[in-house]
Amino acid sequence: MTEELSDHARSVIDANRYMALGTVDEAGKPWVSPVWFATEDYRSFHWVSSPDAKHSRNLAAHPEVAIAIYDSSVPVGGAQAVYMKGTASELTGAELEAGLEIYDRVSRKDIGRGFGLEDVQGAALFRLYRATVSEHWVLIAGRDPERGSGVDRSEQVTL
Amino acid sequence: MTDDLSDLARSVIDATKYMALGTADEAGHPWVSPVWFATVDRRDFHWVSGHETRHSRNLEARQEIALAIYDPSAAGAVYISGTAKELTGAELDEGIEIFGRLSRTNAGRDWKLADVQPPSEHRLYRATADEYYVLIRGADTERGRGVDHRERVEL
Repeated sequence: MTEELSDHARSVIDANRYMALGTVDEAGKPWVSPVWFATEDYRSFHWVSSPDAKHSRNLAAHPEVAIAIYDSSVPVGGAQAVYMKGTASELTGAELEAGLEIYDRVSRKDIGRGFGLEDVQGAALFRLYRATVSEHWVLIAGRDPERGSGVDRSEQVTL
Repeated sequence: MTDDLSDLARSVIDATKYMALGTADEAGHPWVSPVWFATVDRRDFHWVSGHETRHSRNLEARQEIALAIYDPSAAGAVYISGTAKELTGAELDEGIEIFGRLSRTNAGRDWKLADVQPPSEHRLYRATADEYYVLIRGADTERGRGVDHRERVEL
């Protein structure tokens, strides 16, 4: 049963290319941005953004993040979602090289665009970021015939 | 030009059923939850949630919220900041009328006052937008800057 939910979480992540990235500013005020993500292990989520973007500035002040991955086009009542929390930062040095290899590979495969170090360093407009997820949950709809409790809730899964 | 962007924001909101609701707890830990929303004026966004869910508890501690509304390809995206709360009293009567009507029309499910009051676990919430922004892709032929950015719009 738990294994089933973990599989479900993986399939939701696999089926979506954007995640809602939740950050907070120094005062704790929330912010949400959709970002295109690359992951190969469901725990490290990579994306590129401008260092001037609000979520990038928020991360510099406060590395904690929340992430939701879902399909906003499904009919009401059919929602599937994965919730995560962890920490994120801009990658530099050896971590940047390792992260970029993953991001570049997934980006080439999915959208046919490659990224090199020169795209995320120095004078480039972008930086590479990575969220490391410590906990995952899946949405259990209130009307789920097996697990529903009448009200939507989340159940923790291990990925 | 700004009118075009306002229209873009309206069309993204109108075409999308779920929003990513960003909240934070007392200590400032962020949380994001997708919720099905109902709006008639694109300023007040209504949703129903269990009062024990994390985002509902966060709202008790902190009313500031952020919203992101986008389709699965994120061809268009709207960012909103504002405040949100559980509705009670006259605001609840007004809110459930809107939410119930849109839910019947768009989702075939009825919601009445009794469904969002004790002993039900559900409550009705409303986010009120203060600021709106739209996503401009870096490659946008007219407004792109090479890197994605946001532009503020009035709705």
